[in-house]
Amino acid sequence: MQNLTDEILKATKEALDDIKNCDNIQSLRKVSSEYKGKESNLYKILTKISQLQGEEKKLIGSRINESKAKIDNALSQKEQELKISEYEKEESEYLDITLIKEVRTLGSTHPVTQMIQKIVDIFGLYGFSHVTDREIETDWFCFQALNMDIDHPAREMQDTFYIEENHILPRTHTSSVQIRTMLKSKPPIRIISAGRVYRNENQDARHSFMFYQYEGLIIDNNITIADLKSILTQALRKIFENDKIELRLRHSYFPYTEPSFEVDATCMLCEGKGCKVCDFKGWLELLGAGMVHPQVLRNVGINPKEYQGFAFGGGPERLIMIKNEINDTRLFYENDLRFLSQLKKL
Amino acid sequence: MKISLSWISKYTKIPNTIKEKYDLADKFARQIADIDGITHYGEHTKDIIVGKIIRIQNHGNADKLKITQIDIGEKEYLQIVTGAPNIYEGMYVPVAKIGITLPGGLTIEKRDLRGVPSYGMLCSEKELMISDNHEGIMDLGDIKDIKAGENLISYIEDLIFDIDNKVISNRGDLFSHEGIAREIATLQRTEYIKNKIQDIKSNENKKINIDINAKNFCFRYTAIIVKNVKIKESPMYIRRNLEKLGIQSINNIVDITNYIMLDTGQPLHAFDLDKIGGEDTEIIVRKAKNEERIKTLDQKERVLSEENYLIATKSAPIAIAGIMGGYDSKVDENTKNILIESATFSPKLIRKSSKSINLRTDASLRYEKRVDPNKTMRALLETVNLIQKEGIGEIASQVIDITNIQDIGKKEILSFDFNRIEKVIGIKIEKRTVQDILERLNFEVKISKDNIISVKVPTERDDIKEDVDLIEDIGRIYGYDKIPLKNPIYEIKPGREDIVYKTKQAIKTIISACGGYEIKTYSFINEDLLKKSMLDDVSKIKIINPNSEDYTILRSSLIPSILKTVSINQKNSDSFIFYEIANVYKENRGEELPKEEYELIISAYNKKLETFFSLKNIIEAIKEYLPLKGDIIYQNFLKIPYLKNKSSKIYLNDEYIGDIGNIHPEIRENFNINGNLTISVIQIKNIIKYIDPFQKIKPISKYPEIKIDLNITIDNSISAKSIIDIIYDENLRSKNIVDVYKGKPLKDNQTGLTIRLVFENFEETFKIEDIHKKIEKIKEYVTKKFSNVLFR
Repeated sequence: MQNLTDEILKATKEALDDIKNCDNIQSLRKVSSEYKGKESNLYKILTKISQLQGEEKKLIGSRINESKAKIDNALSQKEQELKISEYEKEESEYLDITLIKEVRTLGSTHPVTQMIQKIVDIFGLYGFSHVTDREIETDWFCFQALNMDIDHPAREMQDTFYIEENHILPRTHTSSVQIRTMLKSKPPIRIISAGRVYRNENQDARHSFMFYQYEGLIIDNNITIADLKSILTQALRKIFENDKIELRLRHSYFPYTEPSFEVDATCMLCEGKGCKVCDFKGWLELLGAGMVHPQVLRNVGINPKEYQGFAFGGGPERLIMIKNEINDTRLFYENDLRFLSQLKKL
Repeated sequence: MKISLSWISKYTKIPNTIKEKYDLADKFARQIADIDGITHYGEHTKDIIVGKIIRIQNHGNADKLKITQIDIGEKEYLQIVTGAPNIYEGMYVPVAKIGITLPGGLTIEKRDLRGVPSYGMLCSEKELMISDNHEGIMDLGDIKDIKAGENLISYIEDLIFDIDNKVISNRGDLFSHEGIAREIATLQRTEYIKNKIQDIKSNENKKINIDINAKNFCFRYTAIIVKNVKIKESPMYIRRNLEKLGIQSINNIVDITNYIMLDTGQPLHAFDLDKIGGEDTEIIVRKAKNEERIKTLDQKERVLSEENYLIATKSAPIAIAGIMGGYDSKVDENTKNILIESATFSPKLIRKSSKSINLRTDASLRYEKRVDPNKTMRALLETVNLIQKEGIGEIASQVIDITNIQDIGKKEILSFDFNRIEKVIGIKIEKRTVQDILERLNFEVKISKDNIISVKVPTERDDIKEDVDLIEDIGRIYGYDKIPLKNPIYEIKPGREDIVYKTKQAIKTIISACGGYEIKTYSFINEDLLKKSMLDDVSKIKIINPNSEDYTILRSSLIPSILKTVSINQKNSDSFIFYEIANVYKENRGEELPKEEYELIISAYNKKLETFFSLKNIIEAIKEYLPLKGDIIYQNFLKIPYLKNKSSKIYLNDEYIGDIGNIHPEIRENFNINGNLTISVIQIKNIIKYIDPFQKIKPISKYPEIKIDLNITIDNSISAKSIIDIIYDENLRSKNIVDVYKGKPLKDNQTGLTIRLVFENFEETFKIEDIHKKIEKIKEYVTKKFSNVLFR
């Protein structure tokens, strides 16, 4: 019996020493499973108990239990210690969070795409749907149907590129989409269209032979100039996120609208006080608009006595340039990553 | 076109103060026509006073200097020594007194000029920054009621509006001071006073022979002969008015014709009668012959074609009609007798004629915009009135007036429902307001009890064709500012979805999220760029009138432009992804218009690392994001501009949708691109039909799923998809090609595929034997269907 007691003490001491010597959770877990497994010395002693009798059995049994409890206690204590020291270790580590790796992971759409998306979204709220259509057009869709007859000055070679003289041309404005849409669908019509247009102009800071245009058209029974003013005011306020913007309709001339307007908005940079961007006028010319000319409606088979509406159009580049105080339109088509990577929008 | 505000005051009252004048300009730009620029004439003469030369004495010690005594409204005369050649006693002149600083920066001091003290300076127009004229002292003799001692600015100040011609391109009547004045009078609601014209009293019976041969070109020809003309410098007020508006003064006759043109809008021309055959000459208006020549007033020899029209005598052309007179018939200092022409020509034919010889003049500009044929007579009479008033010539013929317009002077009447005005503008405007606006604009207006408005249109307003044209006049004069904001009321229905636009936006979103930057390149390229891209054999639609040799062809491939963009950007960055969605243009046999299709191009560039797979991943991302139904398969090698062994065509459900591949080193070298470059081109049209808008999601099983990879070898007669299609099992969750292999140990016509099958079971955990059975069944079925498929 003394032998067994000694064995228990020895096994317990060994276990406690092993536990003490553990310096990480993994080795502690190993020790733990060793001493709890069937191969452990304590287990072996336990198997011998069956050979004992009465008091002796009782005594050795309780010794084993005591020693088990001791080991369990030591294990959990050690585990606690080790955990805390690991937390402390990690807590003491230092990470310089201002360090960044120079990896570009997010790209972006082109600023012009972003502005067009914004315009399309805003007019979407008013029930205008986007329409995509051709870029290379016949003179009928680009000019004649829009009340610009064969002798109209805008059709001259110095303003328009031609693929076939006076016949096939890269569109000079998105208004040709109006014509194609009105021929295809019956009123009410509410569309917005954006895309590339081409003019025979020399390249400089203010002119590009290719640029983008957006164009809106609404045809219904009772659309008036007051509606035009109202919708465009609200849309421009949203585009520039500025509720103080007021619009001013300035009399103008386009063959395809009557009456026709240049639409000026309060300069949002100086709020109308006058600054460099608005040329000290307090107003910015943003788009052209007007009531669709009855002849244009007749050209596409819509009765102007029954239906009328307005159209408007402008350049997304101009809106971006004003918003960002940029004054060179070439930036949009030079595709320099240093320019393109500034506005992270998808 | 330039307009002088003080000239307008001949017709209607204009504001006094400069601030009010600028306010008028502001309203003008909004309600009449946009103004490109305003010149403040005389703005630098605030400190200058008017002086009158009382006496001129010679300077004893200098031949060129004169000593003048100037009345400047004070008790004593001011003594000023000057070297100017054009002074005379009684002349009114601008005087800068001692202490005054001229606009050029010179401050006047008391000076001694060869022993004679001078107490100020007499100024030239250039010194006052009024014009470039520095030939003598500015002569103020033409100014009415001028008084010595007064500030000069109050007499000469003027605003010159440079009006945007585009806005008035349908308003020929506004290319004149009288036309603009009527608009201003309407705007201000001030009285408009018409020019008074005196009929010509003459007993001359002489007629001029005029033959209008080109009847479709010349609508009306009015002319008169004036004899004994005294050619000299024109009166000061005419000269100053012309110069203010940028027209050079020539001599009194030429200046008067120009002056009347600016005033009335009617171009006039004076010929030296003796140079065109004398009073019995015949004036012919005819088409020019090919290669016919004429030397014009600007001393240039013009070679004409049948697009041009001439004023000619029997022997020679004497003017390019409506554009410029001939040099050989011009009025000069020796001219004794003249013929004055006041004619109307076809706007369209004038534009063609002027365009064909690339010559635009003040006259052709007005003819292009349409001159009212009713004006010729009135303008001619005004010209003759002025010649008579100035006493520089005598009438020597009847006024000859030939026209081929039947109903000349007839006014059109337009009637419409008065409510139309409100229906278009959106607010109610009172009848008397409408009537007032239109009457001030020279319309005759009647509004009946049943609300019909009838308007008689003056002949110079041929832009008025239907009700909206009048509504525009009413609206702009009434003021668009008075229209309140009012939301439209309409029935709202969702519009048709633009699938092309939506797809483009979705693709842009996902590529950007994968690190791509959208670029926008020009749709036009040139041969050189195609050659550098080794793409010479593509469709080339040419622009017949390019304005730069860099942009001469409509592109049929997006590759050259993106190569150029990569080349530019690699200087600043070691790695980047670009993409663009744009149309390419190709010939379209049998069709009127070229084929136009959207393509997506993506480029991945890295100075050091391989780029192929990062681009392939993007294509997979697009497929998942849109999402596209079916499977993408990469097979078949490509050729130039791609590298054969590092490229592939891309198929979606067996349909070709595009290419992907690394770019050939020779092309990279052509564009100086150092590094790895992969490009992919996708046809938007071909993928749109596979977009699945109703993609479904499924529950997942709580029991573990089993993944099995099948390795098979197929030959090129079988598509991978046809195998995928026939693989079926009730427990199959997905079947995807995860790897494609070509090369050894496979034969050239063989492809190795790895197909990953994922089994799932909603009832229980799979038994491994069941899976084996399923796989065997699948293999058996596939081999039965395709004898030349090998499972490895």
